[in-house]
Amino acid sequence: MAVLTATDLTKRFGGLTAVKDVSFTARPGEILSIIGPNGAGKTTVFNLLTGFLRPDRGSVSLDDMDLGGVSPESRCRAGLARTFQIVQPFRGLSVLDNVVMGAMLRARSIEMAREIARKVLSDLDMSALCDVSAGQLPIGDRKRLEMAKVLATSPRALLLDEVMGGLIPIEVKKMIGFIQRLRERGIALVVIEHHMSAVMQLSDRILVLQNGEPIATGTPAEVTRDPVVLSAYLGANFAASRS
Amino acid sequence: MKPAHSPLTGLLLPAAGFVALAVLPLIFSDAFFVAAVTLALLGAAASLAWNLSGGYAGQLSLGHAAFYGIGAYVSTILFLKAGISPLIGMWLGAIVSAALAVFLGAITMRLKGSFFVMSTLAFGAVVHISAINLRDLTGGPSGLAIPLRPSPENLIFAKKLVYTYVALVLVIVFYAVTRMIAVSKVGYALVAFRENHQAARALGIRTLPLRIGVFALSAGLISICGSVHAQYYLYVDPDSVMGLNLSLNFALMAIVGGLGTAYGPIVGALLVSVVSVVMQVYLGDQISGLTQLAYAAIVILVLLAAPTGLGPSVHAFLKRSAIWRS
Repeated sequence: MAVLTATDLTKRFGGLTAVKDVSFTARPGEILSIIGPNGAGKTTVFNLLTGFLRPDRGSVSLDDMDLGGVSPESRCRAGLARTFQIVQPFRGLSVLDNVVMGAMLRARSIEMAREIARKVLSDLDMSALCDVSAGQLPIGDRKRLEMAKVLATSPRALLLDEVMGGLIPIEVKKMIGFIQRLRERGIALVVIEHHMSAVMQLSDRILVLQNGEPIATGTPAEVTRDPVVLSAYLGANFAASRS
Repeated sequence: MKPAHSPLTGLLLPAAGFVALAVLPLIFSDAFFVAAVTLALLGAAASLAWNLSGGYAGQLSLGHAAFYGIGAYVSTILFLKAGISPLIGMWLGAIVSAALAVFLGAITMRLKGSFFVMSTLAFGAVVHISAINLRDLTGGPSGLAIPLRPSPENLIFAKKLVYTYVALVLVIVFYAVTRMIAVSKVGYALVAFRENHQAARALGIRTLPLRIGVFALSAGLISICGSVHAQYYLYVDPDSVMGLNLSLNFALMAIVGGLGTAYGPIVGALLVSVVSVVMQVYLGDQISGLTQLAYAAIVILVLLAAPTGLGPSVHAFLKRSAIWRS
């Protein structure tokens, strides 16, 4: 049973078709990765899923609820949350207060929200940073804070937009472990990632986009053998030499 | 935002400050001084009300004088024409102001940044001009005079010192309201919107109703200040209760003291008032306009030296020097 279903999502910006006929499902406890070259339309897909952009065609549903016309904040309340590729911390606030902003959604009081926030931060090994101002964090910690904020909203489906970007190898390793724990909790995960070894380790299924269109979908092993994908990433000559 | 206050900054320091403000006019009972303190406190209360929406929610309004003026006019007109006590009239004024704020907010709160500021500026001008032209109701440009009939029920006192304490009560109540909102989910949601509205939406924070609500609360509270203003001067006219410079002052006091902090408007109002009184005393009979010029220069200097407002800047300075000493 899918948590999140996208059907024929299409978005045009003037003459440019950024996303065309993208369909997929995300199931609880499963990781779906969306990969593709820069400009393939991956982040636009996230914006369509979370309601920051309206699709020209196609639909998004969470469980059986159609999300057409539903605002980003209501989608988050319904359990569909996202991180931003360009992280969006509340710069002037402490790390703890940043996470409290997310935790408020499921908490009756600020005290309760603060408790949830502390728990999330400790899960992410960030307890020591509670009082640090978010604007002063290095990029690796900002990426983790971006995760902490959305996790505090207790999502059922979570969209992660390049959370590995800018991380050093040891941080990537930790992040992979953390995402795997999220999967074990039964969250449906959709991941945009350029870090290929992370994608290969984590993904149950991969959807490959090129110029906004899906060109392949399948398990990591299937996708890496697909000549269409090889030619998109490495050029037609390389694909031909392998086949 | 620092929700976890130490007992010192959380309770003792404000309490000491309010006691000092209560005692000062008793020691220096000179009429000029009492008047200056009263107006500073009334300004502080108005700026506190402004700061709820302008500071915490980050919705810079330059039209709040309209609500202040509505408070002054509603209580005064009801008192003069229907004999209704200003103690009741001020609440009716607050309701009118809050209702107007909901109406205005529902239309303009989708605007962002300077576009919202412009809409409040236009609203202030419309209300101001209406007050000038609705002669039958408002007395037009020459305004309305309230007969001196001292009684607590009329909110008219022969001893001007009583107004000082009326204003001080407003300051304390508005300060408490601000502190309560600041540590609530509503306060957090407003700050989230102010800091990064896209991130707030992505976290499921629905801010529009809250922003309209706090705008209405802000309008209602500042309207009460306007009613007290009318009873203090026993006179209202469009320019003195609805002028643009009044709106600018509400904002200025909060900005100088520390935008989006509970104590900022009080610190700012006291400082701005002290400066303006000193300028009037020492420069008043010199070249005309010199007072305003010096006043403006001082405000600019303060903002250059303490761009986040006096309160937060002093706080940061103390913190830095404490780290340096240790």
